[in-house]
Amino acid sequence: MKNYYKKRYCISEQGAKNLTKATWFCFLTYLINLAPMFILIALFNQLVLGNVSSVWQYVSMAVLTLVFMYVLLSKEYTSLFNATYKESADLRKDIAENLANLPIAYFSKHDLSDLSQTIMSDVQEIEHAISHSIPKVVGMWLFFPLMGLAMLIGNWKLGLAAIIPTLLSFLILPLAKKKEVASYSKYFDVLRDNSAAFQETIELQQEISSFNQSAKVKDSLYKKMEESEKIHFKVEFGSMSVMGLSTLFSYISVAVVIMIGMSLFLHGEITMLYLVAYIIGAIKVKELFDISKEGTMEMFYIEPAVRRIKEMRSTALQEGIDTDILSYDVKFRNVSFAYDDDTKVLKNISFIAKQGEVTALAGISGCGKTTILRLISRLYDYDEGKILVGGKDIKGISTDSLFKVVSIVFQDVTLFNTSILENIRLGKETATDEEVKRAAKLANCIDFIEKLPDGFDTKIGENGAELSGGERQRLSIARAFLKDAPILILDEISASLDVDNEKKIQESLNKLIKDKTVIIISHRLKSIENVDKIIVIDDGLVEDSGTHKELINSSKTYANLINKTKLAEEFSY
Amino acid sequence: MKVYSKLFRYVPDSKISGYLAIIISGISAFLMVCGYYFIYQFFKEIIVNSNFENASLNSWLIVIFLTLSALLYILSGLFSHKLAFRLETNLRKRGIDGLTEASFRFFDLNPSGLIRKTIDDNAAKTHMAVAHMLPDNSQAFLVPIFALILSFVISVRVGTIILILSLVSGLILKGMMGNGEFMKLYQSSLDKLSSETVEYVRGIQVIKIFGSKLKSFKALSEAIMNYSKYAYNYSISCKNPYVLYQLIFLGLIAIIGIPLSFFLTDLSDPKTIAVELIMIFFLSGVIMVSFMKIMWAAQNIFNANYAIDSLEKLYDTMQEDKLSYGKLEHFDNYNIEFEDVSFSYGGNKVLDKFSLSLDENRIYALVGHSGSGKSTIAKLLSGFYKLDSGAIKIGGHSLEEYTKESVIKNISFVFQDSKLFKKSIYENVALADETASKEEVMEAMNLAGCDEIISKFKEKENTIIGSKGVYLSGGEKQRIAIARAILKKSPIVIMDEASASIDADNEYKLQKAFKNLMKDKTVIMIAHRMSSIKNVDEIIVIENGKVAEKGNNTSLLKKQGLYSRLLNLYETANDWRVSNEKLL
Repeated sequence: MKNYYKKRYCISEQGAKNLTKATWFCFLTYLINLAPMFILIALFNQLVLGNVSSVWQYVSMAVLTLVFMYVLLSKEYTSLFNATYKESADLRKDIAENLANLPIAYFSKHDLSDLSQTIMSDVQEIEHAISHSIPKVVGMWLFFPLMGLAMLIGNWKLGLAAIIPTLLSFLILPLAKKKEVASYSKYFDVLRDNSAAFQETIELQQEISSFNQSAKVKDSLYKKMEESEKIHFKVEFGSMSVMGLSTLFSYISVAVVIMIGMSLFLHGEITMLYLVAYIIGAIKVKELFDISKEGTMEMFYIEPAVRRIKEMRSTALQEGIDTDILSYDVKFRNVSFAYDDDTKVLKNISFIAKQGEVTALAGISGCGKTTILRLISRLYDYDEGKILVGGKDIKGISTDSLFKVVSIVFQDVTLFNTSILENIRLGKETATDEEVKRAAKLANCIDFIEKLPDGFDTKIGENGAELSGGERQRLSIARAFLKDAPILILDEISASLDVDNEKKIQESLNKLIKDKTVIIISHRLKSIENVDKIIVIDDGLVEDSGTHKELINSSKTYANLINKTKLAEEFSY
Repeated sequence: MKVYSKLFRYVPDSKISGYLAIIISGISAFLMVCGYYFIYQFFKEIIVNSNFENASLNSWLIVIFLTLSALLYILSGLFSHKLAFRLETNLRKRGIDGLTEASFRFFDLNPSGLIRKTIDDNAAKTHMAVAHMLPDNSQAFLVPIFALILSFVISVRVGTIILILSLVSGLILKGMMGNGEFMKLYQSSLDKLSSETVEYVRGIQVIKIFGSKLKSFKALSEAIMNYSKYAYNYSISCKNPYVLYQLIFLGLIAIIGIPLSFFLTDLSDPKTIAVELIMIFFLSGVIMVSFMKIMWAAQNIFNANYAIDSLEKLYDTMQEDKLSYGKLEHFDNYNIEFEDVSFSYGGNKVLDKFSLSLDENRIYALVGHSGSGKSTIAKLLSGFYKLDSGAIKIGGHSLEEYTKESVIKNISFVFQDSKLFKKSIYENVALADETASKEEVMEAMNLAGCDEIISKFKEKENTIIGSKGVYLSGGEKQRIAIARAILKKSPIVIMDEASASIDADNEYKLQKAFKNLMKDKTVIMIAHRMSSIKNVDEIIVIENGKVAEKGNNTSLLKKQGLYSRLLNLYETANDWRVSNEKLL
């Protein structure tokens, strides 16, 4: 049973052990619940049939029943919740740890809110099932054969009459589930479609309003919702009728026992004691099933949650060995890459960014520049070819050893809801406060930090909500200063900022890139005129490379961009 | 039960299904208890009266009533499902209504994914409470009542015992739910866990890149442990009442049996007592199952309540910001007047009594630092924002006095990141003017520099945006949006010049497209490239939500004020070059 739990519900060894224990307590509770029934039958035996038992027999039986019942019920309760919350904590920690060990590329491909959902609500669902359903239902499956056997031994005809309808009522439930799963996949397609249409409507609200499309869009959405309502009803009707059948069986199970019992009694096959005892037993069994029905359904419903967790676990963990990188050339050798299967974004790209030099990537939007930076930082993993840093394949070395030597300053900066000081310290965990402050100064952060209510100790809100774009980028540059890695990747960092901030960012950048291997993307070609090497990318291919002076003559793309820069600068409305 | 009246408000025309579901399920409950009455009769006939013929008759009645009860229960479920589906649909429709009425401020403040999730998920969450719980709930509440009545019908003794049992267990259950202190701790630790999780997952890439896993994991791990602790404490605080509750139900016969056993030999009607004991055993079981159902229901009702509250909060926010329109259809002229306009985002006041007048057929450029308020001024002019106070007047009348159609017809805007519909490029442009001929649409695309975009694709202008292999860069999308605005031919054009994250090739094409759009219009533009606005009619410098300076390029330069400083900063930033000092 332990191994079954472990495999079926994705839980830990200890959790499965606790759950097994809880299950056995549930089983024992079911057993003790039979005791009052026997007292009742004994009473009947005396009151109706005149077989007298002594007062002390009754009293001792009753007292023992109550005492055992109390002990077992409280044991069951404690073991249930103990198992539950210990396990949910372990499960959550385990998932979080597992996440931390997944390849970085995993997070680029998955929606972050889905991942949070796995830790929060999926675990919560499993948690609820553990405390309310799983041990009780499994305990009942242990108990039921025992009870059934006893009933069959007593009188096999009555036994069958009591067992079969209840069993049917229960066995039908998985059938309902199966039917549901089959027809639901169709419904979910419709639902996904609706969601997408809905999302599009919200995103395009400006366009919809300003081109007077509201009525049209509303109509088409309304129609979609009504359509899906019809399909949903059809789909659920199938599983509902099976559920209804199950209810019907459970209702008539008692009636069947009474009918058959009565006929057996009239034919003299059984005594009145048997008749009464079996009817009481049948009702007891029906009650148990009624209570466990919700639990059984819940066990079905948590399957998607369990599947998501399993899926995450089965993703290959980050591979690669810890290595010290001692030289800092970045080399692309015949690298190809596609985000989805059919469109290659990079086609057989090769170039070298030499140690201590500044290498810039140029080209029009969508040519693949940003993708190149993403591959170096392992936000995505390349499909073909090789990317070498210091002569080592970045897929073969651990991310820890790679990022010991690589710093990245991206367009969008992720900040944490802690102090400014801690946000910068992320660059180097062991840095002293003094070091952090020096890095902030180098990144031109001091002027805005000093304006904050608590200076460096100010908490900056969720994802740094309180800060402007320029300020956020300067913090991220401060991190890079603190980290002081020999390889630096700069992604279009002056984009969409106003001049005020841009100037300050530029000042700090020139300090930051000193003596480093730098790979930079900038749309403003003027800013990269003086770099050691410019690589021109066009449609996923390296078109040309060289210095500014060389490229003006040799590269069509580059010359065009330079020309357009001039035209745009001289342009006047 | 308040939650149901709240929910029913959204399905006025299907309410009848709801009432039918409740009534039918109530009848089903009644029939079920009738079935138990015949079980009682059955036992009485067989044990007390030894009339087996009557007993046989009763056994048939039991079958009939229980089967009928089950069938009605299923029927009730059918009605409740019908209602639940309609409710879900209506809640979503209501959301759509709100969306089409809400001002743009609502969309600026609320991320689109979150809005959709709130509407979609919460509408779905009401399903359980209505489809499944509506029949179950009315049964769970009615069955104990009918059972109690039946117990008094059987005898006062049975009635009294069942009554006491119900009261005591009801009190215990109530005591179990009243652990406010534990509940609060539990809830707050759950919230904390939720926010730590979001932060952990959001930051995980960065954390990996900087290699400092441990620290952020510690915070999450602490939240996990705290939650687990408080949840456990909360559940343990419920332990005693819950165990006691189960004990008095399950052990009822044992409890009654102790005092009873002393009198067994002296009873005058032992057979009747035996039947009554059996009925107590049955009825207590029936009531226990019902009470358990109420407990399951409590969870579902709580969820439904939470869902409907979140939805209504969203509906209210959309309504608060609802735009209003008037009856005027004709603009006398296109002079624009901001009169003491105040506007805020959340608690943040962006404009406070801002005033500005602009003449028709001139080109205005707004410049200033980011956060100065220049974008807000342009956005408000679109007519899709509700002002806190003051008025924006065009042609002498406030925007709110015009009809929606005339505002839309007379004002065009192209802001940053324009979005396109998942239709063909042609349709995306053509929707700006449904009466336009194909030539006019193609002409607008030509003026916006879209020819080159179209020629990239095999399907030309019929290429569907967002379909496989169709990739458009930000600048290209922007040009299609400009074509749309050109086709619309509104006399007033508001535009936000291209952002900096665009390559020179695209930028130059955009500039040309914008220039074509501006021809013979009243134009208000937000400028980023200071060099391009030298020749506009008037430059307005905005600082802290006020007009700091205005005039043309020459007069402003003469002033040597904010404009000069901005221009200076711009030029240095533009001339900056990455320099590897080692090489110099």
